[in-house]
Amino acid sequence: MSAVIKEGLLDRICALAKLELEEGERQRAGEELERIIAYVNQIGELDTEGTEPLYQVTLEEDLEGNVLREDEVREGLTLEEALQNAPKREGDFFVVPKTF
Amino acid sequence: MGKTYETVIGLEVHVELATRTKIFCGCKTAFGARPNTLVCPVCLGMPGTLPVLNRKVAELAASVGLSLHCEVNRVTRFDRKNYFYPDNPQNYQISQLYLPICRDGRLTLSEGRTIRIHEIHAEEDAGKLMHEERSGETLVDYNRAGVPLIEIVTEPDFRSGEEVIAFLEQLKTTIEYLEASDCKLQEGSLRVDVNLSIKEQGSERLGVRTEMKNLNSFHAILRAIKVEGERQRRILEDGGSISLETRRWDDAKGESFPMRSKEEVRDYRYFPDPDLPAVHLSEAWIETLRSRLPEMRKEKKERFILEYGVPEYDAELLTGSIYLARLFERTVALGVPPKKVSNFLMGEGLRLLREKEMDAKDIKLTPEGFARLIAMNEEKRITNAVAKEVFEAAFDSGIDPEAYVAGRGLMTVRDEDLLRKTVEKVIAENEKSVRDYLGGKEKALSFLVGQTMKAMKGQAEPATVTALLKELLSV
Amino acid sequence: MILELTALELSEKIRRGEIGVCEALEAVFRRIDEREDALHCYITLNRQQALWEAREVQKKVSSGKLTGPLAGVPIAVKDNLCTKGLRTTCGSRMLESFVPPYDATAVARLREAGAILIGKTNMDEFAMGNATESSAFGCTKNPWDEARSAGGSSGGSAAAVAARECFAALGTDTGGSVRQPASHCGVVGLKPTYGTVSRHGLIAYCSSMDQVGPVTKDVRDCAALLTCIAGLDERDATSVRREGVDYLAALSKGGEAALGLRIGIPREYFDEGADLEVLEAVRKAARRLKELGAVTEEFSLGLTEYVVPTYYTIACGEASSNLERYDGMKYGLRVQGEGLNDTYLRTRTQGFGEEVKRRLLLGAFVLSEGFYDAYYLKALKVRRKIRETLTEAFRSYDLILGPVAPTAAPLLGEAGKDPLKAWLADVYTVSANLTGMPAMSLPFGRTAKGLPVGVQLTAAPFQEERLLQAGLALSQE
Repeated sequence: MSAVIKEGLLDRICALAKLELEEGERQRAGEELERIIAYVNQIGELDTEGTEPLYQVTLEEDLEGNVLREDEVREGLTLEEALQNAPKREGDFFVVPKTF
Repeated sequence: MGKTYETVIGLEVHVELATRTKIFCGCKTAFGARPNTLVCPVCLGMPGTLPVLNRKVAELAASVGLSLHCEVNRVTRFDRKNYFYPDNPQNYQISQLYLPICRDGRLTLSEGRTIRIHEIHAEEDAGKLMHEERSGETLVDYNRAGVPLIEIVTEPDFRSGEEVIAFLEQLKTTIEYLEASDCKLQEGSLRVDVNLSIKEQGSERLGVRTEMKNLNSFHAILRAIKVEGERQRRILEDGGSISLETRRWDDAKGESFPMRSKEEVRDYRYFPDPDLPAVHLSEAWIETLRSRLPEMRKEKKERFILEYGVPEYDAELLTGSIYLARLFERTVALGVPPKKVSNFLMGEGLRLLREKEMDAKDIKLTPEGFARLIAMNEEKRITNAVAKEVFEAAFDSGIDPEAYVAGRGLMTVRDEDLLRKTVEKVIAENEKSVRDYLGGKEKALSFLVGQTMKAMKGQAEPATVTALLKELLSV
Repeated sequence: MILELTALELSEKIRRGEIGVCEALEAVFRRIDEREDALHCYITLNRQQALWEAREVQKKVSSGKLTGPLAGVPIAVKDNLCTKGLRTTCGSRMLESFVPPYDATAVARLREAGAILIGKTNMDEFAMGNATESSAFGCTKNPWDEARSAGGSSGGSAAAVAARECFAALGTDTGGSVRQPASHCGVVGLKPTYGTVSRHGLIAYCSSMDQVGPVTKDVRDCAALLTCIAGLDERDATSVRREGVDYLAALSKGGEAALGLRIGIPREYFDEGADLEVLEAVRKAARRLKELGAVTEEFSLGLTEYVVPTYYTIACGEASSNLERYDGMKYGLRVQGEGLNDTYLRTRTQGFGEEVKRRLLLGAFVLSEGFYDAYYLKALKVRRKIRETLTEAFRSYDLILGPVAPTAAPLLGEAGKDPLKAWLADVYTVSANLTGMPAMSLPFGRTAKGLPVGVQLTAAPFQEERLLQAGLALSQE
């Protein structure tokens, strides 16, 4: 059995990603994930001491960029437009399974 | 047995910012609109949409920080807090973990203790969920989704509920002075989460804390702190241990309950939101903001004393709310003597706020109306009693005092005949008091004046009535 | 033959009144009717609306109100770009019936320019893949050999252009998704500098790398499309202000553009297991550039072994968060379960395909408590190192020349055999996305089997003009 399954890691990650694996898929998925993690692990070899992470490639030093908007009202959607794609609606509301 | 415990409290105060539009899109932030009508693809988390930060949010958040002596971070960034829940359409909340807009501030309570502010960060509010009894499902309204919030996080510096309330009252005043928020607990524009633990008196080690949510009034906060402290004490005294958890206060039941099931994985996987480049706040920008901060309560109070000759005690109360202070100042600016204005506000104004459990923000009486009301009273067109009645009527409705007086015929009666007839009637109907008065009891006269005023519905001048009574009884 | 014209040639004839907008459109739809069953370039066709729009555009062209180089040109758009009133699936069951209430900025700009939106092209689900085989609606076949993949994820766009099922198309490129299918289908594909084209309305896969890019028959069309869609957008805080850039005008220099250009060719690219025919195309392109007056030189770029794992760590991390919104609550598929959590699980488990789930699991892992620093954060640091090596290279060279993909179009089904091996094929393309730099895939010759092979040119940020100029020089016989 792969280590990611043994240590409960696969279940934890599935819970975070809100994905379910059928019993038959678990073995394969676990092994595959382990293989992928082992592969991406090689970035650990590179010495990055003193290197800052790079989150954003083009606006990193741009102070006057298009980063902020003015506090001005912009036309939104109509109620119908907002709800037109809803899997379930009732009156003016989206309907979702019970949350309480 | 016999161990003494000390309560240790830290707060997370969420304040909805008074911007016109949401934090990351141009939708209105209005309260009470029809469900799902203040939404757009961005705040509905539709595929392909991107957040763009509202400049005003940075300004208001930094202003609050500066007023609380915080350091404003020169570079501030937004992070995603990932968790699935239908009130958040993206299933992540855009908040700030790594580089919040402000850090390391303080607020000194009027009794002298200083509460340290750990940080202030900006984030988006969530939509509203409503339980449908009939179908057993939940209805969602996303109008509130994306309304800007700041979260003010204090250090665990409080030792009692009273300190917490004192802090919140001062904080609310500060934020109102900045016009950064409505600060209404009931409407949720001010929300307080209480982190509470207890420790043995004198011990350095903090205990395990719980986080209390759903506190909708100062009263509930006070009570929840007391009850939670006792609950933790009982557990420790019984040899148990406190679990780190979030609890929901039920004010009707007067107790709290754990909010989430324990087996649920809680791992928010915070990471910098790649859609929002870091915001660079220059020294010049921060200084401009600082120079534009409005006059705060302390300065205003001192100025009221100096400029208007208001007594210190009155100045303290008048500046307790920016809305009260503003009504005072704007009325005075219309040429009304400060003393007259402050008398009304200190007496009737504070009484009405107390009795009606009103927020000063909701006073509807305009400075112009107020000034006319005082003028009518000064010119003796209305009596003091009528003035009070009109003030009360206009206070939370904003109706025009002159129109009100005219519409109800509340002008002071100058009709000698009518007055005389009324006094005669009062004398005839109160033989005992008349005898008492004639027998030397001065007090009885006051009673007769009162009876006459009552019969005149307050629309007579008490001095005239007294003179008339004396005249008719001095055979 | 109308269909053989480039977009620019067509619009010129439309302006001159030699070809009608409806006539061009009908020719395209006839072509689609002939080829679509075999190739499957499109997920959704916009037939009725397109005809109506064509008539409107014709009126404006005839009255001189529309004079631009895209007026009346039938254009296809990848199905991860939102189109108002036209369903946008992102190649997923999850969004099978999703109809956006708004247009992506790139789409809106095309419409304003008078381009006719003819349909939404097939793609790997949520742009995750490089063969258009992870699409929930079936794969797209390569027009040059129907047993082979069109590449991906913008396989539908590239195949549609190659098969003349449109005059030009928009794709999106997060790790090579415009360039690689362009190479496999023998068309031109450009990934602009990050921030050049607004991402508003582009359904996010990896927000810090996604860019919209043109897929065209030639370099001039590419410049025309880019000029149309580029520009600052107040709805995208990562879009960049660059005033008055006309990429088409930059091409007036013609062949002399290559004169004196310094071209670097990373030595590592020859050691990474690419097919000889692919490498030969690169060498041939280098020789050609030299003939045109450029200086070419092999050099060691460095860190090339890290680009793929760094890319997948960051891309999957961001994707795991970007795709959380697909939960069956507000739009898209809902598979009702017992209660809220079960509904989330069922909806996402049934709504997403295998490749997407694979990446979401890796993404949740690299962001999760205890692993964030060693994976996600580490990858962001390596990303900066990678950018440093490229920035350094651009101190010595104007352009970097290399392969697009290790092979010409692979046989269908290859990508699914070994997912990790499929990822490795992105080795030449992901650097441009990690660093934000612009890169272009240009058809350059054929394999012995007659399959097109492309070469890739990469430039420093915002040097698209130079990229296009060199591309034009290289593509001229």
